[in-house]
Amino acid sequence: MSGRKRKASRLRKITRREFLKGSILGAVGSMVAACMPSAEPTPSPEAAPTPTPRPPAPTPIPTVPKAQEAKFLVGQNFFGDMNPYSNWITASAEVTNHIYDTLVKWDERQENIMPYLAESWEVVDPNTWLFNLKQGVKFHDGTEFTAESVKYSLEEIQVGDYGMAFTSLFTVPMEITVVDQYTARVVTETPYSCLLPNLTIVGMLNPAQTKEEIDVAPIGTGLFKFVSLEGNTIVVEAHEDHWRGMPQLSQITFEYVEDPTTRIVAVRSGQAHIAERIPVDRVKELEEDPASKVIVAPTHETTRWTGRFSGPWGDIKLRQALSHAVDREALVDAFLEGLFPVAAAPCAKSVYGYPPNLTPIPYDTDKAEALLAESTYDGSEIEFVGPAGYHPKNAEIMQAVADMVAPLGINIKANPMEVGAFIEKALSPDFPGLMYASSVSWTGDADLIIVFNYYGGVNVTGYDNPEVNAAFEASRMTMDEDERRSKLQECFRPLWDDYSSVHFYETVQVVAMAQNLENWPTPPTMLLVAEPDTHLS
Amino acid sequence: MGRYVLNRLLQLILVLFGVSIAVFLILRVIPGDPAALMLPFDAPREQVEHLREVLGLKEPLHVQYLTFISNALRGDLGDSFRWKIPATELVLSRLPATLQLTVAAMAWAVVLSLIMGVLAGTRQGSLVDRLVLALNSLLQATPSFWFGLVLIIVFALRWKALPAMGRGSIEHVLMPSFTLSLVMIPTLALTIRTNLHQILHEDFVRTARAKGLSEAVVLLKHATAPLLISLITILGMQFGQLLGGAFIIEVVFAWPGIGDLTLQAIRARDYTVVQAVTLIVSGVFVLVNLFVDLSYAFIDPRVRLGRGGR
Repeated sequence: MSGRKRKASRLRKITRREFLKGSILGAVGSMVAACMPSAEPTPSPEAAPTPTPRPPAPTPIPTVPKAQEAKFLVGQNFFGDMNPYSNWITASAEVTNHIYDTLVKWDERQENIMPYLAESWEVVDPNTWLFNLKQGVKFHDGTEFTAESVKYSLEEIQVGDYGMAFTSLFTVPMEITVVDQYTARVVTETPYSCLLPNLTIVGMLNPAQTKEEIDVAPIGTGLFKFVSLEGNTIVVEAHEDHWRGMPQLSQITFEYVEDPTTRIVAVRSGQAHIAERIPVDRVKELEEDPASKVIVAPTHETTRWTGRFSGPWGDIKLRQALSHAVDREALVDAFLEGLFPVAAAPCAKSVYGYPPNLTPIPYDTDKAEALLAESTYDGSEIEFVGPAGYHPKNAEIMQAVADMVAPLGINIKANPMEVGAFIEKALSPDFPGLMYASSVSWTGDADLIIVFNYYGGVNVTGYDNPEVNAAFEASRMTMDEDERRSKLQECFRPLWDDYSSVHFYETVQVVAMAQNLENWPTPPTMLLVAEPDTHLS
Repeated sequence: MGRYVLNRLLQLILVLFGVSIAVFLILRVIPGDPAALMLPFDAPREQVEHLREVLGLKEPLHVQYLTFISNALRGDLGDSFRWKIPATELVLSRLPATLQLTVAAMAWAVVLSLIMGVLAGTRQGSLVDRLVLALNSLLQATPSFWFGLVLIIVFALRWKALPAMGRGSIEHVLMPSFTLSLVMIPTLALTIRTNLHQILHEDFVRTARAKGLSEAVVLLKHATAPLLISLITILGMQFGQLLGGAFIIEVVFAWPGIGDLTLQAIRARDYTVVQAVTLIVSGVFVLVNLFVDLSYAFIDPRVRLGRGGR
């Protein structure tokens, strides 16, 4: 054995002993080490250099108690980027609605549209709108909000990137002109009476920011400033110079927590202050705990089951039969604690344009049987697909419906699917079965429900009803608000008489809050956005 | 030895190549369209098609794969469809959380399995042995997500002793890592028990005892090294299982790691992120196992790696 080799083997021997000792120590050591918070915070997109300068940092006001930091647990993962127009995800919209202000807002009763960043507006002619903007409104970076922002925002929505979800909100092309610093003119290609309700959800962008900057570090005029996005956590802090005054909450941390039990326990144990998407069967538990309160509130959403009108669903007798064969009350009682009101119209009561004069479809198996006999349905299997878990208890409900109608000879096969797979199936033009869908208006206005679900045969189900189309077109053309509303209401009567869907229930939202959280609104848009007077007592 | 490591590293490249093809194809075979999932359900058809084009999903599959692999070789795994930042950056930002969780879980598992294994292994057939075996079976049969929720209800809700969710302080890591360690404990404890029992009947142990050494010294000084070999083998093999378990535990405890990220990315069909996670995690897994194999040579002088090795 050469000297070199001997040396090497001795070296290895020592290393081996050290290794042995080390590994025993290591087992204990790693436990301690693993328990330590990581020294380096994980890099966040916010850490990337932001080209736009940070606001002229007014140092945090020391008089604001630390206790005014609220934690909000969302039950749906964030879309990803921070662009307010890129998606319809409620959790993301909740965050961006804290950061951005809109031109107009609904009043609390959802009756009238109120000024917000726009102080007033004027309909010059059916195609022309003039918006007078509030003066002295500051973006989070200190720059002033002007008509340039309106132009930039509305142009960005239309042409900025066709991949953005909000693009489909505006179905009529608009041209925006800056009249002066505080006046913007919007000219629509055709009369577009629903412009105002649509604008209630369009946050005004900072024209100094590019789309790429907005994606990672948005700057708006809203009550709260974006601070950071890290993992599943987004932090915003109070905007001191907000035109409505500085909000009482100094900071809000939004965190995505998938498991509802974890969300509930976090609120009940004081780790969080507000949690959304609480299952209805947990209401009692939250009510009974003195540390928490629970809010059960209406929304703009109804659920329904529908199909393509080119297929078996095109037979009105089958639609009627199924509609009378389902005991909606029993389903709501069995699965939803009786909390969800059975639908009495194709849209929820809170929606602007809700028709007050319709009545729920009665459960009547004799009638269903008779109608079924008149239909062309031959007893073959109807596949019923739905996005499992997307609506509360929908997988169970689908199976219950299949069992409920089976004795009448309607052969439904329930197929709850993963959301992505469901969408692919439901959107494929030759799918002949039933789908679990919802009608929701993000703006709170019936216009969106009609245009997305029922107008002119361009919707997913291919529904095309001349009566609906005529009333809807009239609603778009009129500049008289009362007339617009009654035209929207008129759209729903033919939809109801036509049994266009099996309308099921109006969704109810359940929100858990810490007992000391005050004045956090729970509007029917399901967007839970803090107000200036929201605070922890 | 050097050649052995080199060989194994070449194997790593082959593994990653295979994984890249598999994950690329699986993602595109399963139903679900990233573009349709990014837009509202009722978005116009042409808008969905346009977005598919923007995302590069309209190219033929082999072109998409070649673009992906040639960029990947340059270290670019593409931008996340949703987060609009490089997928690698996204995954690496979440990796420390998962590693922290798995290492802490391993520490729990090693300590608890050693206690259980030694108690049972040194007293095989006794009441203690049977109790440990019973506990072991119970742990094996316990679903980890359920156990996690029970812990949350007891420690966070009843006793308010630990936070229910999230990451931050030492307290945050205790419950999730303990829950995750359950994935590993049954196998580990059982291996230690069996091995220890065998080791204690070996000649060198009899010699040590004959020298008059106390049982504690025999255990600590003579039985430890051979035990470590099996311990490390199991740790290496179970590392993958631990990572898999972390995917569930991260969801229960809202732990912002890669498991949670992957789940979101799969639901959203954020292809680039799923690809990046799979490649990076496979790489880590292969490296861990390489490290395990190398460590044998350190622990047991009889083991030779590479050419002529046994």
